Amino acid sequence: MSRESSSKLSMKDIIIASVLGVICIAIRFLFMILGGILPVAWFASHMFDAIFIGPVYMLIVAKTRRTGPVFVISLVTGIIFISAAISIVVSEIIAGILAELALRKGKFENKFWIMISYVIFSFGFIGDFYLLWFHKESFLKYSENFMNAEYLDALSRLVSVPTMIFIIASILIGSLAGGFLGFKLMRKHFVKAGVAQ
Amino acid sequence: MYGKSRGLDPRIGMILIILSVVIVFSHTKLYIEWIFMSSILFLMYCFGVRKTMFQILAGYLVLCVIQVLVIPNVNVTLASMISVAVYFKMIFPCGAAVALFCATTPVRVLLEAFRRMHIPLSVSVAVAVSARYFPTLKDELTAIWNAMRLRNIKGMEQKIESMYVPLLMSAVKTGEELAQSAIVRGIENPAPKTSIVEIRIRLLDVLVLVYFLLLAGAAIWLG
Repeated sequence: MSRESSSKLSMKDIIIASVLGVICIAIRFLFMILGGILPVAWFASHMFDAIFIGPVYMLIVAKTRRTGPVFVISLVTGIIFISAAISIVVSEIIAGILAELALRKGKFENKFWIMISYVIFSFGFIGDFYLLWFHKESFLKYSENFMNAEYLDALSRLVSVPTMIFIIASILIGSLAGGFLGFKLMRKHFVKAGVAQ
Repeated sequence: MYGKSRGLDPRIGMILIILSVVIVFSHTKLYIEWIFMSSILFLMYCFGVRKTMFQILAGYLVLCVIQVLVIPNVNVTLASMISVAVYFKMIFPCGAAVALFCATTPVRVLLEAFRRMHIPLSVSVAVAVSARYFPTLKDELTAIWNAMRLRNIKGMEQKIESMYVPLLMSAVKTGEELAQSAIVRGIENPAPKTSIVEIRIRLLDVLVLVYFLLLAGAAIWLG
């Protein structure tokens, strides 16, 4: 097959990346639904996302080693989750570009830069919470129509600055753990099976 | 006709999704939301996707009941636990618009619409592959789950690993096969592509678009 070392993105890379991207999206969807049952789980869901997507991300990087697939996956994730919050698209595009830059910096091989880019990629999904953080007042006002004050008080206590810091820290920890899990699974299974080098 | 779209023109469908996002995030009056929901459900009924329609309706009613009857009547801790149901109910109209779009637009029609809109091939292929792979993913998961039950695998870590690794392996394999078949069919040919599917904006599309534009305008104006 003509896979010379050109940096041009081939259709094959795109298709493999989008099949793996579907797994990323499915994982996010699953944890979003779990988060629908408990708000606390919703706040922690990004950490679990980051842990479980790690191996997929490492596989994508190892299979393609080109600029583009990560950005395309970010974009498609943003488009699919547009119905959850419009800000996801914006944050996903920014994170996709930054993650690609980090990957380029490490020439798709340096583990440190792959890790950095994965952390950035994980933060792309944070747009999910934009509405609750920055439009809290309008969200609460909208909810006032049909809910009691006691309940809204509980909600607004739940959405505060410490929660925000907690979420950011949890995503950071989750993405680091996911990245290491990804490296481990790559070594243990995928390189051995000859799926990736 | 070959691969005929059952519903609206895909481009109008996309505009409809954007309008639904506008309506939801303008935090408008509740009755506008209800008008929007019933219009979408009516369109679903007209285009013959009744099963999806009833699922959406049932989901919406359950969330409404939770919001109106359950939350004000339970204590605060429990209420804050199910508070996300309110958020889900709030974004439900977008979900309904997306469901209408997905149920009435075959992938080939969507690709033709993307081509007309001059969206880069890499993005439209990624969207098409994602749409096609989702149902396969469910089958693969079921197969792996059954194989795991057969081998009687114990332990959380073991379970996750033996679920995850075969899934990724098969995804890579499927991706490679899909890529080969697409390349054989000439996806990398630089010549401009043509399609057997014809899409055009009909009178019905224009009427629906005007109706939803007015609704979105009303939502912003009243909200």
